[in-house]
Amino acid sequence: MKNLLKAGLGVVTSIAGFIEVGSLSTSAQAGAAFRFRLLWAVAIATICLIFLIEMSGRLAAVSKHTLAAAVRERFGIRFQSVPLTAEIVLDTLVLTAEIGGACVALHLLSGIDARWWAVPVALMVWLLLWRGRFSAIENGVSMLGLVALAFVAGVFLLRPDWGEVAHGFVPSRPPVGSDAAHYGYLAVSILGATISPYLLNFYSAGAIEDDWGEKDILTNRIVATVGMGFGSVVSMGVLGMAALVLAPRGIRVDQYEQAALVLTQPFGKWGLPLFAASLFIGCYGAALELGLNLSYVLSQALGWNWGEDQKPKDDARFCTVYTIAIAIGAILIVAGVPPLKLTMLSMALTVLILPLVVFPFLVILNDPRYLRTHRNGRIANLVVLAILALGALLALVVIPLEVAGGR
Amino acid sequence: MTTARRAIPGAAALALSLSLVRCGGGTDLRQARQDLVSWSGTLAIAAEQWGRGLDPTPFTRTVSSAARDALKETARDLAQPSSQGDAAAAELQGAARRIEAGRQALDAAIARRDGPAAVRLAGELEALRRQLRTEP
Repeated sequence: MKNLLKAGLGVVTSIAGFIEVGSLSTSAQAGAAFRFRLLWAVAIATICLIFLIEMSGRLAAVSKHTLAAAVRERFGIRFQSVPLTAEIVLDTLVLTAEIGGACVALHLLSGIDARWWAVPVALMVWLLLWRGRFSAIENGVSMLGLVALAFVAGVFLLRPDWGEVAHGFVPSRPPVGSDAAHYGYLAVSILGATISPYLLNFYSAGAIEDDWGEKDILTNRIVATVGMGFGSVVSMGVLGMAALVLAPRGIRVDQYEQAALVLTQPFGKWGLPLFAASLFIGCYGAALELGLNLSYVLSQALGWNWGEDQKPKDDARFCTVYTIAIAIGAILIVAGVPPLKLTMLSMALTVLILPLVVFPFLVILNDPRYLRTHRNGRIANLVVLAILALGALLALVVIPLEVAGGR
Repeated sequence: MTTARRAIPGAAALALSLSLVRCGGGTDLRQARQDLVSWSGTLAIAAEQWGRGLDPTPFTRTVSSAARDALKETARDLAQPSSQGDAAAAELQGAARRIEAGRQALDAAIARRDGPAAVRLAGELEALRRQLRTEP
């Protein structure tokens, strides 16, 4: 039972990787435009993320260093300043998009303009960070996040052609006559929206908050696999529902209102509430995670006192960081900044900084001063090299593809 | 010059040329047709689901208002000169007007709480969508 509870860290981390506003819309767009053909992109993103998350957790469990703290110690603040600055900007953009996404969920249910919800949602995020403990956040959000399994259940209820689904896991060219640039753009978006730098640091900080040690190495491996597996299955469920409900009618997902139609067919009156609840919980959980992550990376890079379980008066600067970030997010949403546009911008930024974030894994995870006997094996290093190569390639193509294939 | 150094100006040139392709050349009728197919399909499902009492009224109104904004934008695009011929653009403009009329009829059905009318409208919008999809 204790080990089962530890899975909460993996699930809550995966929510910000797979079930947040950007990933949900990207998966829905992919399913609506290309049916099951882009499942391979979700599968590749999942494998990459499982490896990187496992390494972040192993680093924290063995060395008691978070990723940001280890990078600062091993490479110095000068090297770290570029990815750190990019991550602060990126986290603030994504946090804003998540607050916006939670507002959209409430707008879909109530019909009240999303901007009116920005301040209440921001207050809800801030209050839980201010008053709550880390275990309450990880277990609460991960339990509530199970509602998103409705997308997976929906796919089974609508009985897809399983041969076509299986074929989607094999990387393929876009269908003849379709928009190849849009296909490429969506594949890059799925990878960019999933392999997000903030997940890696959040997970390692969470492992420290949960007081993991060397005895938890196997647990870490299971939690990383189960957690990311959960998010991945939900993401595939969203893609599948869009493929089954929207694609046959030629509906493209340009607005959340279109994605929100997908669950009514299998669940009737429960469809819209299930969609809105999944979107709200995914975005709320991701906003909590991003607010915390901003405080983690800044505190760890600058050597401040940090910890969600400490009282605000004991780590005032840690709490100030997320307070300011949440306020900025709320102000931008009230001002009418659309979450979908922010998501596109943050996805491109994520892909651009990915190589810088992944490169330290190759050094730190092979350094016996940090990992002792638990250093990376040959396969893990090969995977990191492959992710680095993929990251470099994506960084080169992301802007041309965003121009040509983005909508 | 290393491969990476050669690749960066290459990518920048590709980005520039792609942006010129997207920005120039007037209205993209293929894109406009896809938008019309997409929004007529969206309105058809929304009308069907509301008419059968499956989706709440505020949500269906939200879908309708999102469709209104999108259709307005497509109509504006179609009003610009097109390299693919004025006749094709005019045909799509007509389709956009019919979809907008269907959307307004859905709003009216919602105001009257007339579920059967919304289901009938869903059928008409669906027929329009099929017609748009099969035409070149």
